Amino acid sequence: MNNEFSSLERKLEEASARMALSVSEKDLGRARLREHMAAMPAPKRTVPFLAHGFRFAFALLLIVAVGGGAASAAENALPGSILYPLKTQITEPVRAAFAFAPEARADFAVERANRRLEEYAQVSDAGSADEETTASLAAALANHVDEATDAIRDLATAGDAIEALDATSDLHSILEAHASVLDQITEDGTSTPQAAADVGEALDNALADTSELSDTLEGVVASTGADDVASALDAKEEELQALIDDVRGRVEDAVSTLDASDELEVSGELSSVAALMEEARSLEEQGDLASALAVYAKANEELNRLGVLLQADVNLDIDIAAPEDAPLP
Amino acid sequence: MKGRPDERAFVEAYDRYADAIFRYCYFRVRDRERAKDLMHDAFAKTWAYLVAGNAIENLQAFLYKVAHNASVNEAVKSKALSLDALQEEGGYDPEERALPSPEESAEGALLMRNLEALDDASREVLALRYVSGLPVAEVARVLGVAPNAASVRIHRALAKLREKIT
Repeated sequence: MNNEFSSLERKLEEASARMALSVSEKDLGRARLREHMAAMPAPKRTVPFLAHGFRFAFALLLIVAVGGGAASAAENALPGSILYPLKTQITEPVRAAFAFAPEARADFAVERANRRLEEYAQVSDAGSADEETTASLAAALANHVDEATDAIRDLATAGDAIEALDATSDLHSILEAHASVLDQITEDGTSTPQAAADVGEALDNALADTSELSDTLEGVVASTGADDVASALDAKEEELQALIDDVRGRVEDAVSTLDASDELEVSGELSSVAALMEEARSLEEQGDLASALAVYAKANEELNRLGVLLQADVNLDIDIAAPEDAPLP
Repeated sequence: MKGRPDERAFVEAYDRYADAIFRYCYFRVRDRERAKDLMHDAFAKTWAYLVAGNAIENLQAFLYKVAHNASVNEAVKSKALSLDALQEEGGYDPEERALPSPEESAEGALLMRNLEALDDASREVLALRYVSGLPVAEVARVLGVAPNAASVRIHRALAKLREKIT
């Protein structure tokens, strides 16, 4: 028996060895990888966990001295701030480590991608988006998008295709909203063209990846059983209602920074979301559960978009309404 | 890999692991061109991970993990190769590698077909051990199990393959 197994193992190895890359294929692959690495160079200066000397030791001391206060203060830290490494290399990884389930991992990775894009928008607006900062943010964005899509795939593999599609939709809509913020920053001239191009490329790649993933998951969801869809619908309506309340709260907080056209846009968006919710409920009553789920997903995307634009308006005075939508004087 | 990512070291890692990662991806998606793309994606994403300031303890296991995740999506979309297509996919350039004998080609193709007909778990563990050439400890790390458990899975999978062949 052992001899037979040894022979089988040897044959497997021999057959597998013939499945290798040819010399020319390997050369082409190496050139392609070098090209990719040149487009995403290693930063000149890194901020590893324990190697930033005094600045980081001071940040660590802050945690000991003031505990959660420092971690909390770091939440809004931007690149260049003494607390930024605390945020991206301690606080966030610790939170990520406690996100055990794929859904929690995906949600937090989406949140981290959102944070990097908000940070980029803010440093651009402040004129402090140098080459190193931009490259680092673009690389981190790509990393978080990969973490999110990996977790989403795990979710789908575990049988939660509906949740996986939801998470993909969240990520895609947030990325799209940030792309429009990036366009405005570039137009306003507060971001260097090269920096905007680097982050824009990272965004474009992320959008392409999420679109492809979404297409695949839609196919899987289409074959999901009716019971699973029905229970997903109940949870979805509740979740969206909470999101609407959250957005309304943020609108109230931001009322002093919204101009007339933005107020009109926000009001219009919220009405549109309400109409979509009504449509979804009606479809559900008619028994068309798959369509109801799709309409809820559209409402979710609009709310995500509105959330990103509201934040950008508060941080950067970015217009929520497109210029052509502005009311006439 | 720790500290600032070293471009030269990473390209050396490509030279060392590209074949094995390609074979693994090819075995998952059964399309040569797509397997090359997935192999490239695995290295590209790993580089991005390093550039973002993360450290990787075991680069080989990390690459397999990334390739595995990328191929899960592809495996859902990929279509099974026809018998003829499988036989044509020799995986070598006659100008650059010695040709196997006709008997070796036929036997190898038959072996691969039987391997692909196994259940997912058996195919996965044999692909990691023999298609990719990972030692048992590395197979265990990729699968997230103890080395003993990986050895047992490999042995059982070989037994199933043996049953199919005889």
